[in-house]
Amino acid sequence: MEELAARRGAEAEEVIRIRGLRKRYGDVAAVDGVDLTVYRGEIFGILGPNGAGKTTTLEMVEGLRRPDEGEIEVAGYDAVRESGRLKGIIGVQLQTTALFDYLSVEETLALFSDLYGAGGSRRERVLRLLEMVSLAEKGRERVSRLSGGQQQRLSIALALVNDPQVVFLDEPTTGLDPQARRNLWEMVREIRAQGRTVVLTTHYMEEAEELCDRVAVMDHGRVLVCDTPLSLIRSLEVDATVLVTVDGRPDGGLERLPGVRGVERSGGDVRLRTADVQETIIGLMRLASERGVRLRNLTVQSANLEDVFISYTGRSLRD
Amino acid sequence: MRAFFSMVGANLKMQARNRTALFWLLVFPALFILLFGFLFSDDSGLTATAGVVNGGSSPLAARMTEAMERSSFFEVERLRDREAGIQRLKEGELDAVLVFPERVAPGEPLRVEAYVDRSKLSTSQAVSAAIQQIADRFNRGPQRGPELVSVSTRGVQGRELGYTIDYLAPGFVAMSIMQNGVLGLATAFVVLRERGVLRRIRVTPFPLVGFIGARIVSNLIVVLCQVAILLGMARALFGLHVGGDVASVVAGVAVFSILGALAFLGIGFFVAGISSKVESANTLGNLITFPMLFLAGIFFPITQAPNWMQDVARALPLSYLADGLRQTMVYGTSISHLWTDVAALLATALVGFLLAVRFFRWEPGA
Repeated sequence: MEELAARRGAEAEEVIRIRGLRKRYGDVAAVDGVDLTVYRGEIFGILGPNGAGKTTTLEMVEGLRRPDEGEIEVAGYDAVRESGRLKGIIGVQLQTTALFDYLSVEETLALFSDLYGAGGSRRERVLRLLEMVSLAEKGRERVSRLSGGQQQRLSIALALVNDPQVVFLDEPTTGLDPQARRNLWEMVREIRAQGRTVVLTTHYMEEAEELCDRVAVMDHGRVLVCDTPLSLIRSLEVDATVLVTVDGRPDGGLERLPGVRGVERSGGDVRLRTADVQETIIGLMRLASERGVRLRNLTVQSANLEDVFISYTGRSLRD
Repeated sequence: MRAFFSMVGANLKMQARNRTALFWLLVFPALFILLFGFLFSDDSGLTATAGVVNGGSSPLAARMTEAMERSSFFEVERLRDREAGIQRLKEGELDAVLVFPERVAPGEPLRVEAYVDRSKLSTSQAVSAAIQQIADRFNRGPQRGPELVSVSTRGVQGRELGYTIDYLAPGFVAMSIMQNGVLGLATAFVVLRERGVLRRIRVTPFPLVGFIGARIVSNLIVVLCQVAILLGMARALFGLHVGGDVASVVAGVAVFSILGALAFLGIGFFVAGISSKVESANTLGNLITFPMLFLAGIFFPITQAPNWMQDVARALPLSYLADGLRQTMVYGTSISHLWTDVAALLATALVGFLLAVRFFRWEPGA
């Protein structure tokens, strides 16, 4: 983290600073000592499986939950003691966004614009936001008649209604189809281009990898590691996964192939996690011809954040 | 302030667009008024049966009795005995009893005693007016001289206890204020909480007090419209009695509607606070409101009920709302004479909101 700050030089200004954050529910430590620093103007991702403590962390920053311990400072405000003032300068999208069913899209935006006491022309603001989230044609539609993706976009527009410095998006793409997800990523990049800081949670590693400038990987209420996606992947000793379908039984030997760090089998499908793709594949071919088995569907997958998660937890993100 | 009015405006829009809510707000109580209005209408506009005692005691009395018989309004029944007539009036068989004096001293006017059933407000009014009208015809005869006929009207408390629109309509209005306040608010609020709308409001700088306040203000506006529509309908269709001048009746009814709405909204917020699901809010709301419907004298006057039931009724806020509305609307009683009703409703509102604050929750779940 220090390295990144140094690279950015003077422009790397801390906008969120979380230290020693803890929250317990009964015997369960939902957030168990989290430290995070977010810099102004970046897209910061919190990646982790369900129940990792991502949402709880976010909700404490947003003022929805009170931390048991720790400090949160956002744009110079203490998130616990100055929660009222902080709410005015942050934009929030909650994980489950239900809005008032009987209001139209425009009416909803206008209402929230007033609830935030946003200045300037309300009409202009509403139209600009609708344009930005591609809902200009749905302005008069009732919220209840929007599709899931459209509702999600509306809730992003709501998170921007007060011209916030920092925007929090809690699993913004969960439940969206791939096209809708890509559209939403574009919107998030546009928010960054407007000079705002974005903090989002996700359990999709592609999302964290493609969209986020920096990623904190969370599990069991703790931050395992935090850096740019590229640095996280480069720090791994594994650099790819070789996927192959094996006809016949190449029993044994797979683990001993050069570079291999882990083997998973399901039926004839084999996943080899390797630190040296070239040596592993050469070794694999040799093994196959020596034993007379056929290999099909050979695929090489570069290491990704999934592998980062596996290397820290020993389990897959999807488990 | 702009945020507050914007929230009130949004609430009103949502209320107007929610068909289910509109049904409970207007259609349901309107159906009650229509149904009971037709069942128990006292046909005051059509005819009235009048018993006449001593109808032939003097020429003038005979002429007046004939005049009544000729009028399309009265059906006249000649009686011998005053007491028997009044008894039948009390039992609702007659709408009026006219007693002519057995003899008239020369030079004296004909003194007629008219008995009407005080509990049937509109009938008794119409009957008194019709008798007076016939008497006036004799007084304004060709020889303008001293008064020939003088009518003194006396009210009798009927046994039927005014099971009429005058009794029922204000009661039904009170009922719908209660249901809107307790059930309507509690279920709507639990839904907002369950679906996370409350949390969305919570992450804005708009304060909770503002949100609740806006909800209350918009509810009061809705209640006032609702009361005006329902009572207006009862007035137009069934001649609901308006006691006193319109301005003070409207003011009195408005005050009681607001007090009643506040009392039941307080209970509604409390129910919303302790219910984790819409279903439980619904059940609890019904548990609170249903007994009141029957014990607070909405469908029948509680004065006839056993004493224990009257004691129970005195503990129910709905009794005070129904009574306040009835008194101001039908009898034109001034609010200064109804301080028990006012105090009871204020106390309910206070207790309700204190409990509501104590049990308020932002988050869904148990």
